[in-house]
Amino acid sequence: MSTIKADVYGDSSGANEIDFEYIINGGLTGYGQCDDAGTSYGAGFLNVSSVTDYGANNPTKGFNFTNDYNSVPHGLIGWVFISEWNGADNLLYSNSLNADLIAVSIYNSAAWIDTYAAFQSTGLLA
Amino acid sequence: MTSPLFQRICWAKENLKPVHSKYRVIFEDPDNFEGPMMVLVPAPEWMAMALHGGLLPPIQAYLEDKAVTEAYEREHGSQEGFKWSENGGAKHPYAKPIGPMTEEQAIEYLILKDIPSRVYEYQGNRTILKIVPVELVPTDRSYRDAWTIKQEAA
Repeated sequence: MSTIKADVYGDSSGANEIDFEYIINGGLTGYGQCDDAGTSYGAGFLNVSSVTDYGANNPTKGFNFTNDYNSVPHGLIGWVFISEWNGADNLLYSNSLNADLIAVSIYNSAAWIDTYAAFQSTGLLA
Repeated sequence: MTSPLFQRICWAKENLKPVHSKYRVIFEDPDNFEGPMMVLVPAPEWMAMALHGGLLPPIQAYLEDKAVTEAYEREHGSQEGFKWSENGGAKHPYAKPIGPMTEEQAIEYLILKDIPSRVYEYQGNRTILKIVPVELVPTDRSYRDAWTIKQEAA
């Protein structure tokens, strides 16, 4: 069982605080919280056109966006990337600070794992 | 008046079911043949938008924007620090959307959009880009960094 936790705190007011916890392999569970108003968009998923798997030593730099996130009108998009193949590998990008939504994706090269739907059902991105 | 791309993406979230592609794109970087093969995985939500039509901008809009970002990357070594507000603004969010694509057309579109141009413009003898069925991508990643594109005998 791999447990992944990420806590990100935004500005000093805490308005952009994001807490995130997820357990992989031992069961498809997740918990997330994003206090910003943009949580209802869920476009972090839909705004990704593809993911490039660069290899075992560089698995986390591959998101390609449909709408370049620098020009998304609702602020920055943060995302958590969890690679299915090693579970413990996660990255909360620095631009998640002040993000108004968080995208979570679990996949490997051969298949997207549909866990993002589970995340959505928890309310994180619904 | 056409709604901006981001609004169309939000509409797709509410109205389209994800479509899992049966294809993957494998490619190598001509600037780094020593590196592992890369695998491009289409996002199911994006594929749903491509097949539906009326949502995605023409590929030309992305290519024009990509030319700007790649020029910045060549000049600065990376895209770090790049801002559209300082580079004329992105065209793709406001371009008029195109009609539906087949899955194969969508994959070709995605290659142009999400893979560096130096890969698909490569003129050498080595095969560095292929569209493959998802079944051909190994699920065992034990030797992931040793993956390469098989070169056919001349």
